[in-house]
Formats: sequence, C-alpha cells, structure tokens
Amino acid sequence: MKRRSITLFCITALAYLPAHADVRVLLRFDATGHHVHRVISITAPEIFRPDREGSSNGSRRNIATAPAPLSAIAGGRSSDHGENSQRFETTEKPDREGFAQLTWFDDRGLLISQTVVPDPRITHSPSHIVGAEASRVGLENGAWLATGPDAARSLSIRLGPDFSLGLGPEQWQVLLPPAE
Amino acid sequence: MIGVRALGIVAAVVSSFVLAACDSDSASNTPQGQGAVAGQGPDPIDTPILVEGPQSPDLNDPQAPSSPVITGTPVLSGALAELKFDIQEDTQLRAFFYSSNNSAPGPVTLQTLPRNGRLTLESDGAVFLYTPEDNYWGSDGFRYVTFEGLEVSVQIVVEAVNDAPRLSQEIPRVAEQGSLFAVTLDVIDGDEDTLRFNATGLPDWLGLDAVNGILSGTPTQLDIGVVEDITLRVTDSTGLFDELTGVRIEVIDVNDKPTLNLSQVPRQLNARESVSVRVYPDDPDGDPVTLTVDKNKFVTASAQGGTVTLTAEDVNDVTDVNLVFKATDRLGGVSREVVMVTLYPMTESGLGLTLSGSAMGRGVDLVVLGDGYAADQQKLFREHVEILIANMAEDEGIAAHLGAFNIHMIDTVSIDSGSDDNERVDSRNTAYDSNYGCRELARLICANTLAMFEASLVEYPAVDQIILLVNDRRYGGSGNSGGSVAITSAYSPEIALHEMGHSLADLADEYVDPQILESPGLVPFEEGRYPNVTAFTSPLDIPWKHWLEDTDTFPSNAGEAGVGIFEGGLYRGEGVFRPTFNSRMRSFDAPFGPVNSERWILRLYTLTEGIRGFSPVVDTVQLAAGDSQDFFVSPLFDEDIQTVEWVFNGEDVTNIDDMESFSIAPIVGTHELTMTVTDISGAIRQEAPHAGIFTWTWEIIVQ
Repeated sequence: MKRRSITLFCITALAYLPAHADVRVLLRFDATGHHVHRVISITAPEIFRPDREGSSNGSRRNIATAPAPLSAIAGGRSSDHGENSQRFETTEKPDREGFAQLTWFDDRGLLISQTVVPDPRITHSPSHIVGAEASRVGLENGAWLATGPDAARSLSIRLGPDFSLGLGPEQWQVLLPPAE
Repeated sequence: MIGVRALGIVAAVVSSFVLAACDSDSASNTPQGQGAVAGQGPDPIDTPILVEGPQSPDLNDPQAPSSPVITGTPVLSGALAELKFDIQEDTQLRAFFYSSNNSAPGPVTLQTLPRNGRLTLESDGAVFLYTPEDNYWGSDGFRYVTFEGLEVSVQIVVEAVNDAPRLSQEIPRVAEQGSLFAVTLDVIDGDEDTLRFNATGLPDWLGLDAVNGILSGTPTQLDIGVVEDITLRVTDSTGLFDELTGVRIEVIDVNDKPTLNLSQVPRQLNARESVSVRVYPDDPDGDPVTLTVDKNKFVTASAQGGTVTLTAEDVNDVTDVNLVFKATDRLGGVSREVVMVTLYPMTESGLGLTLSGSAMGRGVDLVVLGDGYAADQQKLFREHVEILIANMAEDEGIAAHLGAFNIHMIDTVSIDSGSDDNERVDSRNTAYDSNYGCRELARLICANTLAMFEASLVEYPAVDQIILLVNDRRYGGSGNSGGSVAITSAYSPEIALHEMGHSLADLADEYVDPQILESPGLVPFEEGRYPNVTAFTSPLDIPWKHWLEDTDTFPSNAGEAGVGIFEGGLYRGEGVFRPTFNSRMRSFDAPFGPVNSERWILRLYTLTEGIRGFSPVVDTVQLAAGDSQDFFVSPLFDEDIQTVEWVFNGEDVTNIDDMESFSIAPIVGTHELTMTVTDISGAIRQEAPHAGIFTWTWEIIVQ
C-alpha cells in the first residue's frame, strides 16, 4: 500500500488531476415500482481515454482500458458516455438474467450512456458454503445506486425476469431531478 | 626460547654474581608448574641444556644469600659426578660446589645454566645459590667442571607447593554516575585453582560476582560521593586467599540528558483532532527542562510545562508523520525522541474516517458501516473494520494491490447491540435495522439499504461499495443491492470479500445452486460474459490459458492444486469450467487464486487507470526555444508493483534518478515523449495491452 508521508512526493500539491462530473442516482423500489430517491452530482476523476472530447489535435493516445464496465463497482465510475457516442436508442437488447440494464438520456432524449448492474431485486446469502441450500431470494423492496453522466435527465431501467425467485421482467422510465 | 649467554671461558671466581639461566621472554612464557598437567607432574629429570664451552655469571643481579649451605653427596662415575637436591617451590637452594677432600679448592667452570631459575655464586666460589623462578615446580639443573676436571651434573627437583592467589591492586577507583562501572578483578594464581570472590563494604549500587570476579554496577545520582573501606577478597580452593583492604571508589557526577515519557502520545490522530498529553520531562540532575516539538506541516504542537497539545491538520490522505520531541536541560543536554503518528482523514461531520488511501481521489471507494454497535461499542466497530482490512490483506493474490482502495468507515450508533433474529419481530433498535432470517433464510441478513446508501453518500458521494458489518456473532450475510452492498456478520468478514469478488471482478466460479438450475427461466451460459468461467474445454481457448504451465497436462480433477480446467461454475455443476478447484468464490476460507486475482487487479486498474495523476494533461506541449518542461506521473503503487518508463523520440530515457518525473529542454522542432506505467507485480500474465499498462504520449513542439 502506498501511504504517503511528509517526506514523500505530495501529488495533491500538483493539482493536475482533471475532473468531470458524474451523477449518482439513489433509487428505491417497492411494490409500486422503482423511484428516484435522490440525485447527487460528484466530481469524478477524469478517465483518460484515447478519444475523449478535446483530443482533437491529432496526437496519439494509446491507453489500455478494459471494455465497457459491467460490474456494479465499475458502473459506479464514469463509463463511456462521451458526446461523440450520442445516438437515439433504436434497438432493444435482450434482457440479461440477473442484471439491470440502464440507459441514460439527456434533455433531448438522446442516449448518452448505457450501464449494467446486477439486478437489485435479487440478494443472496452465504448459505451455499454450508450445503446445497437455496441461497438467492427476490426482494420486494430495497434501494440501489446507479451512476451515470451528469447530462442525463432521464433513465430507463430494464430488469430481466427470474421466475424462480418470483421476479418478472420490468421496465421503468424515471425522470432525474436536478442533482444536489 | 631459552637464551644462554656464551661469553667464552670465564672462571666463576667472582662472588655474588647471578647467572641468569633464561632471558626475560623465556621466563614469562614459562608456565608456572611447567609440565604440571593434572595428574601428570613434571618430568623426573629435566636435562639441562648443554652448550659449548663454559658459561658466565650475570654481573647485574647481586643477591645476598642467607639460607644454610647444603653439602651434596655426589654419585661418582669415572670423570663424572652427579649431585641431586630437592627443594620446595619458591625456596632457594644454597649448596657447595662439589670438590674432593684431598684437593685444594679452586674455581669451577660452569658448562650450563639452569633453565628455570637463577644461579648465583658466592664470593669464595665454593657455594652456589639456586633460586627457581616464581611458582616454578619441576626439574632443573646445571653442569659445571671442577678445577680438577671433574664434570658435575647438578639436578634439582623443585616440589610443588600451593600458592595463595594474588589480587592486583590495579582497579579503577572512579565511576561515573549513570554509566556502567564494570571491572574484572585481576588475580594471579599459579595453581590455576578455582577461585571465589567476595567483598565487604560495597555500596548498594555495586556488586561482585563471586565466580567471575566481576565488580559491576551503575551508580545513580544518589550514589555520588566516595565509598571507602571496601575489602575485596579472593580465595582459592584450599582456602588460601588474598585481599585488598581500604579500597576507595568515588562516584563522580556527570550531566545527564533529560528524559521524556512519550507513552501517552497517541500513535493515531484523526484529521482536526486535538489532544493534550503529558510527556513527563525530567532531568536526573534536577535541572530545569525545556520541552519543544519540531515544526511539522501536518501536526501543530505546543508545549506548556510537561504537557504537549497536538492538533492534526486536515488531510486528504492517510499520512504518517514523524513527530520529533526534544527536551533540553540547563547545560544543553538534549534528548530527542521520534514518534510516528498516523493521520486519518475525517469528513466534516466527524462521522466518516478514512483508514486507507484517500478521502477523495482516485481509488475504489469502500465504505464500511456498522449496525448493532451501541454507543459504547464504537471502538469495537473500529476494530472490526481493521479486521476486515486485514482480511483483505491476507489474500496473497490481491494484497499487494490493496492500495487501490480508499477505505472509509462511518460511525453510526445503534440503540441496541446485535441484530434482529428475524424480519418479523423488530426486537433490536439498530441504525440500519438489520435482521437475520430474511425471507426465511436463516443466514440471510437484510437491512435498510436505503439508509445505508443515504449515510454513505452524505459522507462519501463517490462510494463504490458498501459493506455493512453486523455486530452479531451468528454466521450470515448477503450481497447485491445492485452489486453495491455486502452485508456480513462482523465475525465473518470473509463474506464481504466474496461479495466483492462478484461486484468488483465479475467472478463467477461459483458454487452449484440447485434453485438456479431448476429455474424455468434459466438463461443459457454466455461465453465471455464472465472472465473466469468458460464453456471451452481446450486449453488453447480458455480465457486463462496464459496461466496454464503446461497445455498438455494440467489439473482438472477434484482436489488438484494449481490452475487448470475444472468443471463447474456459475451455479452450474456441468458444462461450465473454472480455473481452480477451489477459490474464495466457492469457499470462504480459500484464497481467490491467481486467475481470479488477476481479474480483480485488472479491474482495479480499469477503475483507477493505475495512476493518481500526471502532468501536464495535454496532448501537445508548445515551448519556446531554450525553455524546459517538467513532466510528472504518480503511479498508484510503489515501485515494486509499478514501473515508469519514459521514451523520448523513440529512445528510452534511463539517466534520471526519479522515474516519476522528467524534465527536458528540447531543440527546435517537433518531438514525442511517451510515458508508460506498467504493473510488474507478476500478478498479471495476460498479454498486453491490458488495463495494467497506462500510457500517455505528448507531442512537444519547440519554436
């Protein structure tokens, strides 16, 4: 672990970390559906991508990055939602078992980002360690967090079915109030 | 070596001259009781050295004999005679030279000298005095020729006599207060007896080792002064002894450095926290002491009397600070002591505390909450969080990259301790209302996730993962809430790491879950969706083929160690394959294993890009001719995990001391500088490019 001490190089003094804003949407769900509980804006460290906005001077940026994040934690970071990737949603992607597909739209209804997180309705226990017991259950209520671009004004949530857990397919379109 | 002086033929008619048989070297090297190996004794007759020609007396060592003169009876054999004498150790032999009764006395001519003693001739030339060396016992002798031409061999047997040991008076008489005084009493004892030491009149600070004769002790300030009439005695095994009486030892005063007791100084401080502690400055000499703490940009310190007040500045990173305490006495004696204090960033509310990494900045933000920790159990909560971190650090596959996490804890006080037994009866009033038996699963813990997110977002808006530690010893936990929340009994922290295996690294080499298998809506396995499970069976096709040591032979059977291809994963028992027989995703007490760890680490790099920052964050740098430009990068990990390389115009830059910075003043023209930060931990075997490599290229235009 790199723990800085008074003798070490203090990077914060350099103040060279560029940043942009993400929006974090705290959602809650119950029998009536998924609802926006709170929206906050955070300053997130910039992701240095080869084709990010502003890199128009022709210089080469060769940065190795993983494909679009799928994990919840990766979804909590800036995803590929640059201006150049704007497009209207025209195709339906098949629902994935156990996952929620999130589509973020700006104020013009343009798709600006897509992210995937584990289906927030499903939880599981550590029972599997002690035998072949059923360990997953579907929840009737709860809360979850989604992270998207700060330009997003609405969010489409698609939840795949898991009939064994009593969960049917769901799709919700929520408007995002201004971030706090 | 025995040195015998041959001065030619000199008649020994001059009285009272000593014949030195041996020079000084040979005397000191001759062991006392020569030949006296235990139980052996000396040779019966030690033949004197024969030298060519007569010997001469030493003119420098007159001695006055006093013992009676002995007349020996020779044993005659032709022209030879033999005289034998017996004496005791450390006594003298005074005897007549042999001469026949019918001859007039005349001078004798010495042929040899004794090896182990001195030979002295008296004035009339008829008497010799033999003095053996001190403590010598054994045989000795010499030869002479009478004026009649008779050659006489004198043989002397010196019988051993026990000697009293002798104490040397050469001992230091001055001791410094505060310093160890240690003296080994010097004893001469020719008999090599076992010796015992004792003393009377010793001051309290001084002791005498009865066996080794070591006089030692450290006098204190109170011992300054003179102690007289000390008696030191050494006694041999026969009771013979020697003693020094009236020994006087003086303890002198020296200036002692002042002392500090820093046991109360905290080793940890939260940001903005202020504490006052006593450090007990003292001076053994009774001098007044001035207490200071060196200036430090992270901790403000002030001293008054014996109390130091420390106030931590606001920090963004967990920071180690060395505090230097100084105590100075009236004479300038200085004590300097250093205490390392770790500063932890704290949120404005005072509830959020960062235990690892940064409060804000690149990293995976892990927030740990506690439920069922009553007001008096907040310290226990902190301990549980530290155990959780230690648990993460124990998995060797991911431990080296733990620094990618910013780990925070948020204090939350519950009214009651523990967790509800089930979700129907709210028997305990806790902050996040956790309960076992969620949805009738005994080990499934549910909680108010909305409250958890609220609490986390207020303190750490960039939270990536929440772990709720439930202060209850019963085994249980849960994971999901959109992948962001893991709940675990604080006494089973390994559950949290397992859940992060899902959410952070998309690991899926999971146990078999019959419920899923029996699900009518089971979606077919999707190749490539998870990095550590596959439907491929060929070692050349599997996603972790770079971890196979041998593609022809690899582990695949139950219980086999190492990376291979094992059937079962993603809740399925068949048709899906995983890299190791066991892993943390299948058993909480197993490590992740190399393949899963590689995925975990690559995901950390994806989220953080492996750097804390670099400068300048531009593509093109324009310079005027002659100007220089500094370039910086701060990797996320230490140099044993990440290396930095600079390439300028296609050539590696090697002649720089600090690889994290590079300064250059290029000539007019267009140049290219590339900086690459690469993971060298060995935990990533995937072929480049991958997330463990960060590269930035600048175009530098100089006009």
